[in-house]
Amino acid sequence: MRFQKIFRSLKDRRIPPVGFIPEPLQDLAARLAGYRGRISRLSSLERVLTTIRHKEPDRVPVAPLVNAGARCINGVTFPEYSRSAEKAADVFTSSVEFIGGDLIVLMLDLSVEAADFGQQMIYPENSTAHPDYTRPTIRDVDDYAKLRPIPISETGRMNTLIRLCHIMAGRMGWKTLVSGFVYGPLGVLSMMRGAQLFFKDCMQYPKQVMKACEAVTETLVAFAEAQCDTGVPAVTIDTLYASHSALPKQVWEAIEGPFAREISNCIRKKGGLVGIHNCGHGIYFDAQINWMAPHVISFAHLPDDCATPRELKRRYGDAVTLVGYVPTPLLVHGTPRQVMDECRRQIDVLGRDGGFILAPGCEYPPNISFNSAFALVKAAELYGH
Amino acid sequence: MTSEDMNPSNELETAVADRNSDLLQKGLEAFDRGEISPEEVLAALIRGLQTVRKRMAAVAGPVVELLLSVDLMNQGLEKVKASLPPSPKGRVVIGVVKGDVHDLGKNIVAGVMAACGFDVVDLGLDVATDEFIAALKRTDAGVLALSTMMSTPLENMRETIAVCHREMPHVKIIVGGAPLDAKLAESIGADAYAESAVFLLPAMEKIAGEQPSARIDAYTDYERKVKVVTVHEDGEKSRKGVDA
Repeated sequence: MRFQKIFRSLKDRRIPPVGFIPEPLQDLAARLAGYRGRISRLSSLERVLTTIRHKEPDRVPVAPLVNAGARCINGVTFPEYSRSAEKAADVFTSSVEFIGGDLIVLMLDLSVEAADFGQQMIYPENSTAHPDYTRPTIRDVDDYAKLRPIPISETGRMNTLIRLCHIMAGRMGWKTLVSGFVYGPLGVLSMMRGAQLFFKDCMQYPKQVMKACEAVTETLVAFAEAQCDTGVPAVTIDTLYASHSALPKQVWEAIEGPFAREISNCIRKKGGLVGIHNCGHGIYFDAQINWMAPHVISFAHLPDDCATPRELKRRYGDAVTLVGYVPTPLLVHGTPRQVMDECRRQIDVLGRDGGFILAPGCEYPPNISFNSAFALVKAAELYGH
Repeated sequence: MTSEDMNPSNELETAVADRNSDLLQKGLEAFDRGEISPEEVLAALIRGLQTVRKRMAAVAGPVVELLLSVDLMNQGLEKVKASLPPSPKGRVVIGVVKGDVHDLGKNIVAGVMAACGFDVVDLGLDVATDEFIAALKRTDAGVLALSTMMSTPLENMRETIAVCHREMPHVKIIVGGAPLDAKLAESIGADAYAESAVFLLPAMEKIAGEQPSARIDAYTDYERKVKVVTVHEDGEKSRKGVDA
């Protein structure tokens, strides 16, 4: 069955589900790509897949994560980018063609799922779409029990993102690795409740929150599966609440851990690669690896149990591919030279033996110039060998 | 110390430090009975929050713990506010700049400022420049605290700072939020930057021109390629944070 899927994908000239390829074969392919990378240039896809197998490609891959920021290349407005799969696909395509990069993460904003659960939204002209917090869907603790799973066919924004995955998987083909995106159940619920009240609910009413997680996760599993079915080889799950920026570790493990595992398992069953994005401070790498067994983790700050990037590489470098972690403030105020110096520092420490993709810690700031993005790409080309 | 051994002051302090709402109620009932003065209530609440703040500086902890403590402290403050004299530390206007609706960090900072003895005027979120200026004029505040969690409203923050410096040059401005660091804060014209509520006090003292009760040493260890941050508080080294 798995081999049939691989052959069918190859026949259709699409990337086969990477997870269905036997690991020794993946390692062999990565090793061969590593050798080839010493004498010739690899494609972006080869580069990323080689890195994920912890082999050194021709250079460190780079993901500038210029998502909404690239809308100005095509003259697309923020609301159009958020609501039209076709326009968003043009933006992501332009991002890769104009700025460069080896990996695309199809993250529109963090309200895609919440909007389909009934959360009223605001689509500003010059900023990211966000919930209207004056009209939260979850007004009190009793409302958690009222949430029901939604069939994916009846969703609006989630279907837009699935269509975006379909377009981008077709457009990027064998060139660049494309990842879908799912906001974790706690993130979705916080968008419908407001972060402050939601934090307190997690501490004071965990059973009610978990009940709502059940309903939301059922939909998120179907959402992740639908993304995998479009042919994207990876799906990234955002579990922001697994960090010091939110909940205590044991609370996160008790509430979201099992649901995060359900979502990552469904991606893996589809042969997809599992990514985690978390831009909080003091991230719980150990807990997230335990519950989700990801292939890659994208991070903005060091995990709670590592004091230095060297320690991070030593502790987690073999278990997972690290994606990060150029600071957002540096991208905003730094000169291209300063950004490149920071990239070189990170490549030196984290890039050895593969397993590292250079990227901003979070989405590239949407309203700044592309100078820092160009600096990221240039740094990978200059120092990533 | 068990709860039976505690006096009302201990109860209030422990309530905030350990996030115990039952103890808070017990302490506030003692206030209602006249067993503790409003000044003692305030001092106990402040001690409780300072304990949490110092604990988080020593061993970084999840934000929700500080949030719950701030919440309890605010409940206590609400009860005694009317009986207290004006704050000696001065007044702060605080808000999230136009274009941002994330107010969790701002709310925590506002609570910690109140705990540090400032009279806080909270304008909420998505606040326009003219609203900040009007509030500063109306309240005669000496400090403006601005927050944003997103990079898109940074231009609005820059504009608010510029207008404030132009129209009210005596007002000091402190900023914080996820897309900021000290250098960016300086480049948009802020007088001080606080990475989080935990490190708020030294920043507030800096702009007030006071002798800081806490000192932060930061340097880059090029050998280990890390930035080392050391916080000395109350004469003791309370945290050695090492970050990249």
